[in-house]
Amino acid sequence: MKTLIDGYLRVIDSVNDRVGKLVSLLGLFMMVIVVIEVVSRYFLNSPTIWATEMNEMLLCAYAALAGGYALLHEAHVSVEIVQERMSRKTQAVLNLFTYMFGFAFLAILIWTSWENAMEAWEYSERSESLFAPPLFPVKVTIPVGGVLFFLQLIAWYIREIRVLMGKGESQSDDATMSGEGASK
Amino acid sequence: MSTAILTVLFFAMLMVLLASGLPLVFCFGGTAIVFIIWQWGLPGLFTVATTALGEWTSFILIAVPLFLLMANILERSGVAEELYEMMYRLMGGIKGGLAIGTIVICAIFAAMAGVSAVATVTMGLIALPSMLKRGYDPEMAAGSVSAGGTLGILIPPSVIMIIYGVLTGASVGKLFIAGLLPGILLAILFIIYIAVRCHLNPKLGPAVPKDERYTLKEKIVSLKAGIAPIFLVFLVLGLIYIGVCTPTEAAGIGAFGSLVVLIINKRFSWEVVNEALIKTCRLSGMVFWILLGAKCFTHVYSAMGASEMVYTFFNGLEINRWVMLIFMQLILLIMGMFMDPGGIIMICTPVFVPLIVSMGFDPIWFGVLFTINMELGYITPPFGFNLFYMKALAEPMGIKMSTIYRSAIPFVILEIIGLIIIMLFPQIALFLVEQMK
Repeated sequence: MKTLIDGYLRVIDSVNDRVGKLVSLLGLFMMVIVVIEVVSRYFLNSPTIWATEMNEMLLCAYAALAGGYALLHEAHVSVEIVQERMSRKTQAVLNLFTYMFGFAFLAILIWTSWENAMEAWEYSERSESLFAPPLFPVKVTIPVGGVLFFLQLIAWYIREIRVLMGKGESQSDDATMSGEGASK
Repeated sequence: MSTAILTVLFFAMLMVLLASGLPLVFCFGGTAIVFIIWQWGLPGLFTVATTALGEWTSFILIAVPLFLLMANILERSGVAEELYEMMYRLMGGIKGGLAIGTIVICAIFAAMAGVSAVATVTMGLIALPSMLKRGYDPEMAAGSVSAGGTLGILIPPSVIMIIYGVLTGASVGKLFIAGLLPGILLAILFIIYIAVRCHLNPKLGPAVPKDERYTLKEKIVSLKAGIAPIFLVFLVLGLIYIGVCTPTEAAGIGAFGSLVVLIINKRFSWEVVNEALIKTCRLSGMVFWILLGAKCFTHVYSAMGASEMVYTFFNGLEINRWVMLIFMQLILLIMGMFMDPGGIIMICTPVFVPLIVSMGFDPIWFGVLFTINMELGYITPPFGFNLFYMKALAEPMGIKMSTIYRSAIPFVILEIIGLIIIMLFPQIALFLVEQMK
């Protein structure tokens, strides 16, 4: 059982880490597309029909798929003032309860966005623009990102249980690096 | 059940979850789904998926990762080192000159990067040890770095302002331009304070001894450090101001420009770019998921009729609108002591801004006041982000946390003075906006 759980943690951490590193490259793509659009619109006077919409779809994939990766690296901010005064074990008890809202929220997101994506698939939905790309690829990134986030949250939860059982100290044992929690 | 009780429960649940230390995305999202199921049943939940698609494909929000990328590339570009060297040569001979130079560099960085962290971290690494070595008072040195860093979100571009614009429907381009003069005003207030205090008590910031100063030629040579920043500031701000570019386009061009600077400064390597991309991705992941939660929360807030209820309630009180405005600023100030600015903006704008507009105030101007309050949040104890950055950087240099806390106090007061000035003279924020085409 222990090796099974350890295996799960390892696999999920490494999957989300790889997805995150891959997705982070989209940042570069979005930049390049903006530059192409600006050059063709303002210098060549021939705006593209695809750049803006393409970038909006990339952004969706970028945002959706980065959720689990951000959790892996503890980048999701929270208000720490109360927990700071508790022992690590009390924190774990509290977290085991409150994180249920996280599971519920993600489950609902996965369910509803999956339905939307399937609808787009069945009716071969296309965007109502000149470019008219199919909408399934962009819509499906949301449930996929939701699932990755959900799986990472399970890993997180298992580690909290281990803290409670006195078998682990913190969330960041192997793959995780200390937080970039501070934003903006 | 009456809307009033529902509204109270709604906010109570959010507050309890926030206090429990649950990540913000789940605090907002969790509260939203509970009330959706309660009020509209399971079919209502589809709004979660629609919101995700709507927000995450929003054109203006593409600017968020692109500005973050620009900031993260600039952090490694060597621009900060060069600028500091320039300031050191030019101003080292003045009492307090290095601290003043630090503020100026922070302001320049603020005009290139949309976040506070970059200037705080780079100046903390470069300027802080240099000032301490020159015998500057630790309070003066640490305070100037953490306060200067806060300018990042007020002087455009600003990620905080993008989020404010997305949540309120205010024009992000106008918000950017409105932040420019108030940001310069704050920088000037900081500089005057440093200059006066160091003049009265030169021990706080001694001038570099005469025999160690630079010649005129060396000073002029150092000016070339300003070329790259001027180029980038023009790319970002200039293009938005003259109306050529949207903020998103300016962000993309700016990120590209910072990449060019990286190459020119011979700092380019795939590792550096990749690290910047990864850092950007983690931060963006956090921002976009919170934004999803917050948007779901806001939808429920208005659909339940709570937004209208709050609005009628406060209007019914017939309090003087200035009293209301000041009251809001106080709430923001207090929240800033304990919460992340990103979270505050998502809780408060949906509640505050409709009231502000109904009282006849300008939402762009309020956005500037809001942003200054968020700046204060970065340096107000006990939970100011910049103070924690300072802690990480300055403790190895033998500066105590209590010193860091004390170092922020004069700058907190200065920012409040700046806030009051802009409340009294809205034109400081709105003048340039009215000049835009």
